Amino acid sequence: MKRLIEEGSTSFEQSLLSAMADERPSPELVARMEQGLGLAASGGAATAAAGGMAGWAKLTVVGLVAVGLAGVGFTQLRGADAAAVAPPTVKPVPVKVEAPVAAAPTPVSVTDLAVQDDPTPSRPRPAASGTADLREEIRLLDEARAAVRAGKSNEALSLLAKYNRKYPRGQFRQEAQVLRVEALKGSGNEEAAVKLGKKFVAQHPESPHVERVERATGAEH
Amino acid sequence: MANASLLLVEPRPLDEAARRSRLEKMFRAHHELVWRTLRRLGLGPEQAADAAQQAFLIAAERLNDIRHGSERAFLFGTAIRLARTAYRSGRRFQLEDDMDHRADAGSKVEELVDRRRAVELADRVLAQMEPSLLTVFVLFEIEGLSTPEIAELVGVPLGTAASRLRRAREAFRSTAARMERTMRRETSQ
Repeated sequence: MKRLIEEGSTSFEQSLLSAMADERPSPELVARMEQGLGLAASGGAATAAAGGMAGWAKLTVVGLVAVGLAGVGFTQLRGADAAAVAPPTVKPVPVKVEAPVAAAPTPVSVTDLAVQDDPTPSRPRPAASGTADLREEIRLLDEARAAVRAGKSNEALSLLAKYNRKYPRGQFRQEAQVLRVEALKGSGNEEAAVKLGKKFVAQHPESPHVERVERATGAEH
Repeated sequence: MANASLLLVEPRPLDEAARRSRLEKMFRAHHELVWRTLRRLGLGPEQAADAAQQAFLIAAERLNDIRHGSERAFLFGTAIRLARTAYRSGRRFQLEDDMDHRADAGSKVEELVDRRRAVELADRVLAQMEPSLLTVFVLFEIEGLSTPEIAELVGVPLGTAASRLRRAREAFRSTAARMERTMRRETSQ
């Protein structure tokens, strides 16, 4: 199948499509991203690199924390509307956390890269867990995922139960729930898998995990 | 959904310099694409830059796990998820609700030579599109991914991806035609 812009489109459509395809970030935005990632050749990146750990590596850790903060709600991370000019030092996560309104924590799955949904902006709070905890959460889920894939469903369920006990408000609860559906299905407990899958979809209809849950439970349309 | 974990392999630790070098190469090669995808999926220029940076931070954290050659897919998958989150938080397309855009009155179709204007109009067209169709449309029509690639990324069967693309095209063409008619009508008055 050819792209619309290659055949059959009107000149108006072509104008729209080519304009979209040609759009690039401004040099200022590119510089800001580089600086935020510690990749800039000078300026902020150099400043960040001054510690024992390389600047970019620090940012990786900060990024992890940021992803943890996403549990508080990446959904609340706003574009730096008011930060058009990058600061002189590295701005690890130049996304700004929008204030207000309390809400449930918003888990984010780094492991599966699915950023969690939380339609209600909430006041920024400290991350539910520190970096070490976050790594442990990821490790547990990685192990559970590996177990699911290896067909070791009971082991996966055990790991997921451990995850739940240890991190009742963990950052990756949705991912854990999806894995549980898959593990239940794998263990032959299809009824429980379908029940949990339906509950998940009802609770998180907009979750990026929905299709995966529906695949696992055979509910996909 | 995209099963990004399919892209993961057993970690093979990289030393610091190699990790930095790889991240830098990924950024150089893909930052425009990641930013543009986020833009088309509904974020403003600055929001897209922030989210793109977030995508690369996530990539940095998972660097050992990203298979060589899968960097682009990984970043696409991450960008899609970040955009979905932004969508749910209601920040997508901060544009007027009125599709006919009375503010456009007086503008001429010929003004589309102005790229910025064209981008703005295009985003208004995309704003009318259902999110699941939008993602497929953007990846295919703007970024040139194949339908099998899109199916893999979005985590749907190939037939579903193709079907979504057909519907997305219909939606795009219908909305664009409506917008063009409105603009022509208003400029002729």
